[in-house]
Order: sequence, then C-alpha cells, then structure tokens
Amino acid sequence: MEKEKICFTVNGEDQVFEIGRDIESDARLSTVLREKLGLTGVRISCEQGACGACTVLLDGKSVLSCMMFAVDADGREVTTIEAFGESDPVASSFIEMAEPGYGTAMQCGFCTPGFVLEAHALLSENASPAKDEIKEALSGHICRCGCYHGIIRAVENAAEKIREVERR
Amino acid sequence: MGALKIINADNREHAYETASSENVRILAGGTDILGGLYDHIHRSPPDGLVNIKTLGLDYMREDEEGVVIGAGVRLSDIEKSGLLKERYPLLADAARTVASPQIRNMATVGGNICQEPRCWYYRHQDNKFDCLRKGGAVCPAFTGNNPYHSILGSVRICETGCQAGCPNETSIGKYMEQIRRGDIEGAARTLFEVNPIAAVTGRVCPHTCMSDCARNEFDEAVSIRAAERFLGDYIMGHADDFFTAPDCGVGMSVAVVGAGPAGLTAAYYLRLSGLSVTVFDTHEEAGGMLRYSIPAYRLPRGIIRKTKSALEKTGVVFRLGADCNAEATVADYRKRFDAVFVGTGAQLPLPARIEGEEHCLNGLEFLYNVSVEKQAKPGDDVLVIGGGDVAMDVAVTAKRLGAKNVTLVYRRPKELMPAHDEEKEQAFEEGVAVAESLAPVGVVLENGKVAGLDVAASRSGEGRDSKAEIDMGERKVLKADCVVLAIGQEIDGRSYEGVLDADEKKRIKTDDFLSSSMDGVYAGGDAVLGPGTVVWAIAHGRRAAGSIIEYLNLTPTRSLFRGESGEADDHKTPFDPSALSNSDAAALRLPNVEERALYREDISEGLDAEAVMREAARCFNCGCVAVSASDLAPALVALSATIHTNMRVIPASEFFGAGICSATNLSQGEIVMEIHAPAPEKGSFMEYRKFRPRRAIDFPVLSTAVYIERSEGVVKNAKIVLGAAGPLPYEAIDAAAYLKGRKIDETVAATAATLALKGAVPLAENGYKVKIAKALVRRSVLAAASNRQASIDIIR
Repeated sequence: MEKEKICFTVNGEDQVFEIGRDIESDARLSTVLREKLGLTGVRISCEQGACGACTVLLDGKSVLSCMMFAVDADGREVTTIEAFGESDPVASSFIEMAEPGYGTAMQCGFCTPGFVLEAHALLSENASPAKDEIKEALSGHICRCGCYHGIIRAVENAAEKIREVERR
Repeated sequence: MGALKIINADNREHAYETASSENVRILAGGTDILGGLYDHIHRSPPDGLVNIKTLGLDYMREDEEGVVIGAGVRLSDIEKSGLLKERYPLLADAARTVASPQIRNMATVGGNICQEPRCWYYRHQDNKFDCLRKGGAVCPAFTGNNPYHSILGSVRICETGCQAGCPNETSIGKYMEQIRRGDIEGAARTLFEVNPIAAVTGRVCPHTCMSDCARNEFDEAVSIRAAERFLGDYIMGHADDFFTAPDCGVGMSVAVVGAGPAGLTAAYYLRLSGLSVTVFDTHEEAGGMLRYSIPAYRLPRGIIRKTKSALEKTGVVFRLGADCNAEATVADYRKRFDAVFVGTGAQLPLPARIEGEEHCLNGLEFLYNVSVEKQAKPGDDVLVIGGGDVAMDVAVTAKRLGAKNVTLVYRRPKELMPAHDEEKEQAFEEGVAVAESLAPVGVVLENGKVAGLDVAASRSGEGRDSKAEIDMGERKVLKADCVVLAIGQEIDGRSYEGVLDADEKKRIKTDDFLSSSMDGVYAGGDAVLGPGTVVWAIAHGRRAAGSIIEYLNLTPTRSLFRGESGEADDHKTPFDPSALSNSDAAALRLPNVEERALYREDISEGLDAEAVMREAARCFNCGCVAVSASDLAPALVALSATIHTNMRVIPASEFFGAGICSATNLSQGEIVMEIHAPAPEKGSFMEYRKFRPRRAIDFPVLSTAVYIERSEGVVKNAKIVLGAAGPLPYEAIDAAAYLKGRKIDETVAATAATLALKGAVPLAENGYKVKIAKALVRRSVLAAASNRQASIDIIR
C-alpha cells in the first residue's frame, strides 16, 4: 500500500515525515537530510551516483543518499557526518592530516564527509584493512583536490587508532 | 517530480496486480530508476513505482541442484558471500565489478539484470534524443559517437521509420535485408505478401516511407522506390510463380465492384483463400485511375494488363465494359454474391464554379481521352487550373501533345502546390510555367471560342488550408486557346447512393474492419477515404479482403491483418557498417526532355540486381546498438542459470531482450523473483573479466564470462559469453564448440578468441572493442589451462 508517513532515525534521533506534506513521495534522501534536517555535511554534487560526496550510512552500510528515495529509509538508521565529533578516530585522522602540502588528506573538504563515513563502514567490518582493500572501499569517492594518497594514510592512521583503543 | 506514487507491495499477488494494471515500474534498489526519473529520460514518466523490497526476496541458499539467489539480494552480499566466492566465483566477481561499494550496497541482483540501456543518447536528459529504443525512429549512435556501442550489430526494437511511414505496413527493412543477402526471390515474396501490384507502386507511389527513412538524417534516404520497382518487376517477370490459383474452391462468391487498385488487391487476396471472385467495372479495361488517369509515360499499360491476366489465371473473373451493368447497385450485387467489396474510387471532376466552365476541358476527361489515344493537341496556349498531381499530369501531357505554352494557374504561391515534388520538378523541366496566386474568375470568349482566362489576384496565408483572399479589383486576362480544369476529384457514389451510409462527400462510412452499413458489404480506397493514393487503396483492399474472409468464416492468411496485431519482424537485425560508406542514393533518372514521349515509359529500365543490392546496403536496417550493460548478465548466461519470475522460469540465455525502454523479455507485471544457478561440475573453471576505463563506477566497455568443464586436461564443455559487446549478452557458440575435446594451449586459446569475434561488425569508433574482446577471451581460456583465476578484473 501507499505509505502516508515514514519514520527513520538520523544520528540516533527519530524523524517522522508525512508524505505529500513534509516531503514528496519521490524526494531523494540527500535532499531531505539537507533541506529538511539542515544536515549540510551531506554534500550534493553529481546527483548521479558517481562522486560519493552524498554518502551516508544506512544501518551501518555506506549508501548514496542522492540515489535513494527518502521513503526507502523508512524504519532504518541513517548516520551522517554530523554524528561524529572531532574526537572520532576517523574524523580526527583526517583533521590531523589537513595541513597544506604534499600528503594532505583534505584541502577544500567538500568530499571529506563521504570519505570519513566510508572509512567507518570499512573499519567496522575490517579492523586491519590492507592498502588495496582501503583503495577498493574508497573507490566510489572522488576527491577533486587529488588528496587520495593522504586519504589512504588517514584511513590507515584511523585503523591504528581504533585498534589501539581496543587494545587498551 | 512529486506526483509519483511509490506503492509498497504487500505480497506477490499485490505486486503483480499493481505492476500489470497500471503504468508503473518496479522499484528495488532504485539506483537505476531514480536517475532516469530525475533526468526525465523517458517520453513520459511512470505514474508510480511498486516497491518490491517488502517481498522478502533477500535470501540465498544452496541445495544439491545449485544455488538459489533471491532477486532482492544486494550485489554487496553476492560479492562477499563465502559460498559464492568459493563455488560460483563468476557471480561473486561479476558483482564485485559493478559500480562502487555504495551502489553495490543498494543495488539488487534483480535490478542489475533488468537495468535499462546505458547508451548516452538513450540516457540524455529530457529525452533529448527520442531514439528508437524509446519508440522513436532514429538511432543517433549509428552515425554519432559510438565508442562503447555494439560490435555485434543491432536489434530491431519497434517498427522502423519506413515501415511506419507506409500505409500498407510493408516490411521494407526485412526485404532490404533479404536483398543484401542476395535473396531476391525472398525479398519479392516479402513484398508480395502485402502488395500484389508492387510494379505499380514501384512507379507511382509517393513513397512516404522514404521521408521517414533514418538515412535522411545522415545523407539521403534509401531509394525504396528503386528497390520496390525492381522487386515489382521481378514479380511481374515471374507472375506464374507468384499468382497461384487456390488449391480448391470454398463454394462462396464475392463481387468486387471497381477494378482499380483497391479492387484488384482485394480480388487477389479473396481468390487466394478459395473464393469465387468476379470483378465488375464499367470501363473497358481493368486498373481504374491507374489505367485511365495516370499517363502511360509514368505507368505503362502493360503492367496493368499483365496483372489482370495473372489474376485471371488464378481464377478471378472480370466483367468489364459492356459486360458490366452500369445501372447495377451494390444492393443488386449483394443479392447475387455472398459478400461484396466496393472500390469504386473518386473519379468525378469537381466543378470549378467559374463563368464559362462549359468551355473548359476537364482534366480527368482529358487524361482519359489521352489514355485511349483519342485526344488531339488541345491548343497552343494551354492553361491548366490546379496544382495537384493531376494538374501536373495534364500539363506535361499537354506539352507532349504539342502545346507550345502550358501554364498552371494556381491560387496560392507556387511552393504550396500540393503535387509531389518530383512531379512538379518534372513539369517545370519540360517547360510548364506557373501563374501563381491567381484565382480564375471566368473564361474569356472571342467569337464563341476560348481566348483567355480572366483571373483575380489571390492572397493566401502560410498553409494550404488557410483561406485565400481574392481581390476582385486586381484583374488580368491570361491568353489561352484551351483551359483545362484540374482542381480535384470527387467520389462517384452512383452504385451505392441510398444503399450504403455515406457522408456529405459521398465517402462510404465503415468501421475499423472496413465493413459498411450493409451486412456483407465492405469498402475501401478512395470511396472510403476520398481522393488519395494507390498505396492506401492497396492497404484497404488487403484489409477489406481479410475482413470479408473472416465474415465468411474462413481463416485469413496472416499477412492480411499485419499492422493491426503489431507483429514485429525478425528480431535480430545485423547492421552492416559498410552502409555508412555507401553514400550516393541510387537514382532512377529521367531521360532528356527531348527523348520523352507520351506513350512510352520515361524510365525504361530500373536498376539491375547489382545496383539494387548496392542500394539495399545503404539501408541502416534500423535497430538499437546500445549494449547490454549488466555485469551479471553474461555471468548468468555462462552458468546456464534460470530466472524465476512470478509467471515462469526463463533460461538466462532467453531472458535478455531488447524492447522499448527494456533490456529483458519480461512482460508487463512480470517480476524477477529468484535466480537459480546449477552447481558447477567438479573441476570446472569459471572466470569474469571486465575492461573499463576506471577501476570503479564504470560500466563494462567489454566483459567476458567463461565457464569451462575439464577432464584430464581436455575441455569437456565450455561456455564463452561476451558482455557489453552486443545489445544482448552474446554466447560465442562456435568458439565454445571449438574448445570441446581440445587441450588448451596458446594457439587453441587464440583460435577460440578469433572464432568468438568472427561475426563482429564494429561501428565507426569501436573497432578497438573487438581486439579487447579477443584478448579477454584468450586470457580466460588460457587461465583455465593453468587454473589461475583472474585475481582482479582486467583494466586498461
């Protein structure tokens, strides 16, 4: 049947939307997250599933919020970059490597939320990924500043941090 | 966007009901459909989506027979499944190469194999290219950018432009293909199936098919006219083989009233089904307007006479001239026959309503008199009032009878004259002049003889239907010793007035089956449509014959109803890329003006067989060259998987198709539920290889799925399937057969690769794909020998 209301959690908080009033039935998830919830960490760029900037976690798995109807998130858990503070091991690894120069993990920062979320998804499944596995996991993201080398190192550093926390 | 309904399927029945009853599409992962919807790539968007994620199709299990994968399983689950990685690596690898990790987390296996074409023309925003994959007429990729398109030819999607442009639904693409193969007999049969008088249409049909030819976008339309004339003459040359008497009679009789093109066509099909057919016409000879109006220099009399005698040999009886009672009405015929076809045409002249009309010649009478060789030179200064085909014929005929000055008087600008361009050009070439934007007012007489035509200035709007304003103040007199009226014909309704329902223009009212208001009486051609073309008359004659045969409880042959059933031709259509280099259309050239005569056909000879084959090679054989972009598709075909839908079980090799906005053979409301892949033989080898510009995101430029069973170093069985090579996954059967029984080495692998691509017909920009395909096949076959699996997909 046609749903009138949908409900999903975003960064732990329940969000209820009435179809036709709050959102259109065919609204993209990315649009709803940004425009209805003000979560501007969800970046919209290509809107055709090619750049990875709009990546969010759906029940812990990375998905493209621009290629998904918001109604398809009904009953699911959505996580955006806003869920993570500066102390987050992955986010902090990127921040620590934000110094300009060769090997930086971020320059303009536009693509960074997507990379950070993707790295989270990877590290939750694989605590010690090999370089090739990191590359493969990040292959759906584009960084037009060209910081891929630094990004891979940031993910390696993050993995190390998480392992360290777990060792303690 | 916004109005789109997304309906969650409650259960399978609900999903089926919703998907089959409305203009809806299936929603699973959504990654394919969402982009298409937001980019407005279709002609019209669906009203809704049926979400089938609610059906619980995300399961996977293995039993003795093989593995069962629910259609809703995500590609990431296939990629990471331990079971698949170990036992069916072809599937796991194919899934792993799809797009990006995020998309694989969303996309389902069912959606992957149902995805729409990835051709950039197809996918362009706002349906910028309304290409033939969406029901349009042209494939822009044939002549445009095609580096990623098919190297294995095209697939016919819908009616081609030429066929759609033909009122008689002639399978032009099909007979062109037969001509290319050198099968002239077959091509002639294809044409003859729907048109028993192709030698006529090959000469006098306006060929609207040619204006809808996709080749117009490239250079010049294929000369369908020349090909049709060639085939029509071939049929006439072998008339005894084509016009055959029915095996036995069925003991019922039909009267055909009117021996014009509609009547002759109806008579042929009616007789073919065993009916006794009698054709009635008050003229001495058969053919109607073909015989008495179209000048012999365009249509030689011999063709009609030969058609008549061919029909007589099949048993059709003609009652012509004095043998035909001119007073008989349709009701009289109906009393004597089991059914009647009325094809009496539109041969009466329209009155001109000008002063002194009685001093004018009538165009149709003039042509009639010429046709029976009883017309003398009409005068030295001849004015022909009108701008249609009959006016052109009258003007040219007058010229050829010796008139010094022949001028067409037309009440609108010359460009708006409704005659066909070729006829106009020919008339001008022969010295016919035009006095344009003039309305005739009256004939000027001197001593009781025609001396001129009084005309008034006429101003008209843009189109032919706009009202012309006549300025009676602005007058002049055109000098003439003969004025011919050729302003149109009207229907001759004498045989059915007061008997059949007709409109104010005497057009017989019929239903869709050409049945008139009287039981058992059918009608067609000009008598139904008003003055029209030969090809419409043929189409009506054929369809009415089909209706009559059904009315008499007989079984009509298939060809009688084609078009109405929407039946398509052979689905797979090879595209010959040499079509792109053959540029000059074959032209049937008229002889020099001084060599033209009144009673001899202008174009005495058509093309020869070789020239016709060259012309047929210019035909694009319009089909879609978008490739099957699914990575799972070739893998499933290689594994001999079956697709289980809510209606049936389809082998993967028959699942993929090419329809309007579709890459499968699924019907409306049919939903993929499960995929079954049989357990691989012990010791078998399988591998997926994919070439693409980047490691991620990209669709395959080319991919190969190879499955090889071995026993003691010898190939027992093999499947080699190419992805993104053609519109469907392509099974290289010859290459696989070659491998059987052989021990693989470098030479064997290279030979298999060559065999796999031997039918390749690359387009202008994708010849490189052939080389890549060969390399991938060779490497996979070799890998089977060494048992090395490709650890990662092949790039660059």
